[in-house]
Amino acid sequence: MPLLELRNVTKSFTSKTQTPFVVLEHITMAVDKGDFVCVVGPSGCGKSTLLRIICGLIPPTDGQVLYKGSEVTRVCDEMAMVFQSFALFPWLTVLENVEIGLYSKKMSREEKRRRALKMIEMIGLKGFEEAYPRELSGGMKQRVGLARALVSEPTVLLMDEPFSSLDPLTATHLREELIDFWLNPNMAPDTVIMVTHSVEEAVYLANRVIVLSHRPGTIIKEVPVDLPRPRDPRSDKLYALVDQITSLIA
Amino acid sequence: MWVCVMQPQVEGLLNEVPLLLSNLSYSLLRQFAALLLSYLFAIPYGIVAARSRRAESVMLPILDILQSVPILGFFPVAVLFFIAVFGGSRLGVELAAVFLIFTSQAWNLAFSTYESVSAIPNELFEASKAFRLGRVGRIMKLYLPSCVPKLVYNGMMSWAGGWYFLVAAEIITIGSEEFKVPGIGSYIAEATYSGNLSHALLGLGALIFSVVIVDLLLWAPLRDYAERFRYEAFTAQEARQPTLYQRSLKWFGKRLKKPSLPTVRLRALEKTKEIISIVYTPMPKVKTTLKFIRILLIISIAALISLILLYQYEAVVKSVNRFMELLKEPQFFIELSLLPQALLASIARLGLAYAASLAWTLPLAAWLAWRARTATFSLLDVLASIPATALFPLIINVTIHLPYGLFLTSIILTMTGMQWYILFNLIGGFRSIPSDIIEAARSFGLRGLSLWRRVMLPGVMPALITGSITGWGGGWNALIVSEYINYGGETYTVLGLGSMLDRAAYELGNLTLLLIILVTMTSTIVLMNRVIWRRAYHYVLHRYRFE
Repeated sequence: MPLLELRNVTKSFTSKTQTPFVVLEHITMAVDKGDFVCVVGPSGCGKSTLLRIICGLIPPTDGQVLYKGSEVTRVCDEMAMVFQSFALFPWLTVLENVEIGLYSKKMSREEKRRRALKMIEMIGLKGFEEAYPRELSGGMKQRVGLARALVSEPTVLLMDEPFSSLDPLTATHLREELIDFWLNPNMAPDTVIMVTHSVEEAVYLANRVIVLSHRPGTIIKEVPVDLPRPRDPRSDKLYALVDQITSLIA
Repeated sequence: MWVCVMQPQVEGLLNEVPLLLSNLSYSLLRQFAALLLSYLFAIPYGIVAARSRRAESVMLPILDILQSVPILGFFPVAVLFFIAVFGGSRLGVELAAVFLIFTSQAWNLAFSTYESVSAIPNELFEASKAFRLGRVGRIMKLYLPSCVPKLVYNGMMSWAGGWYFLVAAEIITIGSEEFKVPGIGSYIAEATYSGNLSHALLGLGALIFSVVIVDLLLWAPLRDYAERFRYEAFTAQEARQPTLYQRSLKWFGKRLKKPSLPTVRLRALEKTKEIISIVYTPMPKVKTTLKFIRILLIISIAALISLILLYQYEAVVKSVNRFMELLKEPQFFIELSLLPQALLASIARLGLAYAASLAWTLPLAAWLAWRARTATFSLLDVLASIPATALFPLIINVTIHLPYGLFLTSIILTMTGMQWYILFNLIGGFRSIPSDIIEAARSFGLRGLSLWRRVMLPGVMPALITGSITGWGGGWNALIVSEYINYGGETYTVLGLGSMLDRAAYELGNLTLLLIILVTMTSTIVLMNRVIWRRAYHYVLHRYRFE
């Protein structure tokens, strides 16, 4: 049984004036434990919506999301999300923001604090515990976002274009660190599902790239990436795959 | 010798100090009570309206109407109500005063809450869901913090506005009876009515002093605290330790950035339109909710009326009898027949005051926006924070004896309710014109009048409309105190809705007439908002907005 399964997921939005328009149609896919899946597609193809459906933030119009065999009907406990624009609470400190990741967990206040501090140290933000998000650079903000998602040690990490609002150099660094976290068997996450519009990024990171079509988003193809790790972001093999996927979208 | 002459006067003033202080603390207590009540009402109301679409479609139009009712016009009704319920005891007047200040703050704070919660970035909201904050967690970590900047800012404005109404609320004459509560407003009013100018000035000084002190001790720290709850990033310069000077400038900057209240108002107007269209189109679900709410409303009104009837049976019977007699009296119809004329007179008065306000604020705002120094702003801030109603005695004292004194006085007093809104909005508007556009225009040789016509005026248009909407709102309020002037024991009146309202309340004590005038006034305001301002705003936004 796969860890996560999408069966014929369709999402349409109804607006008052127009006829309902379909964002995602007949999405069927499976994700195994330990996988790293990237979803790519043209803008407006419903990539982010797909991620929110998986997480349980919004219900699908039709079809099912199954996690460990049971249907996801509300926000799933064992998944955590990283947002494109970080979604940090501006009025909370770095430490308090990371503690939000443990908000619904049943553990003592001290335990939450201890875990959050440890996570902050691991993510490389030691010394910034009492800083407010606005005092941080974009890269540091997304580190906080990552720490907040990882502090609860989720099985599945969902990432919604996590690096697209960062400068290229910072993004490169964070990608490396993400891979390190994922490869480390003692650390969350085991499984990553990431939405991105950068095909290079997808091929560089993922075990598998899922290509969505333009609206309504349907799966055009699943491209396995069998390149050995650590990967060379400029290798010919990688670029061949990038070209192949890009031609599917364009 | 000069000292000898001055001595008794100074001593007299010094003797006044204990009385003054106790009056001042009464007024402050009333202000705090009203502010607290307003927050208690506004925060839940705003959150519910923002989070539930169905509630929004009902709660926003209600708020819009409530906000359109001129607060001071509402006051006589409230006074009659509270005094009837509490039988003319001091508690009744006390409650009426607090209620008046409450009505001047609550709607605006509810709008602020609504606006803040609606403006929470979607991702932040999703994050709170994804990390399963739950209802309590969402309120504590998301809704309440997001409201802090606007609630502090608007609380501050409301506080200042509260003084304006408080000064007018502490002393009320109904028919031959005078109801008053001890306070700085009644102190100033009494001193004025008895023609004792030095005491009136002393009271005014104490009032300004307390306005400044409360700002320094309460609002300044709160403003600093609220800074943390903003979304936008600090600039490097702001992050440095600000001096008091810079802080006042910063506060000023914020005051300019903020009041998008009219946009919310417009949104409310849109909602009203929506609700009307919902009523007339068959949409079963919404319609049942509406029906349900309507039934609830009718039930609660019926309950309220029967409660009053139960408690005040005799009084009601008496007043009904009096109303029947009044209907026979020619006075009632004479007053009623004046209504159309009075309405036109009031609108004309507002128009004149508006034109006069524009004439001095437009050039001043343009100059202030680019050239002025901090000191000018601080001065302006202090000036704007003085409740104009407290200044009335002084203004009247100067202007009433001029040729056309009464006419002039009423216009000037009306302006006091209008001009600050217009000025502050205009400064913000001029500031928001991108400097590269002005530079580009200059580089193509536009200057002087043509620069104004092509760049400045179009650029400032949205802010002008926004300021005009709030300014006219303030103006309607001011009418009630500017068309009916008590000064030195005499009453001066000019024809207008405001003076009619005052006469109905304070001379005739006729609730029916009062309500008729109030409804006329409110519907005129709502109508003008809808027919003139909303259209103007959309037109201007469509044509002149900088992308």
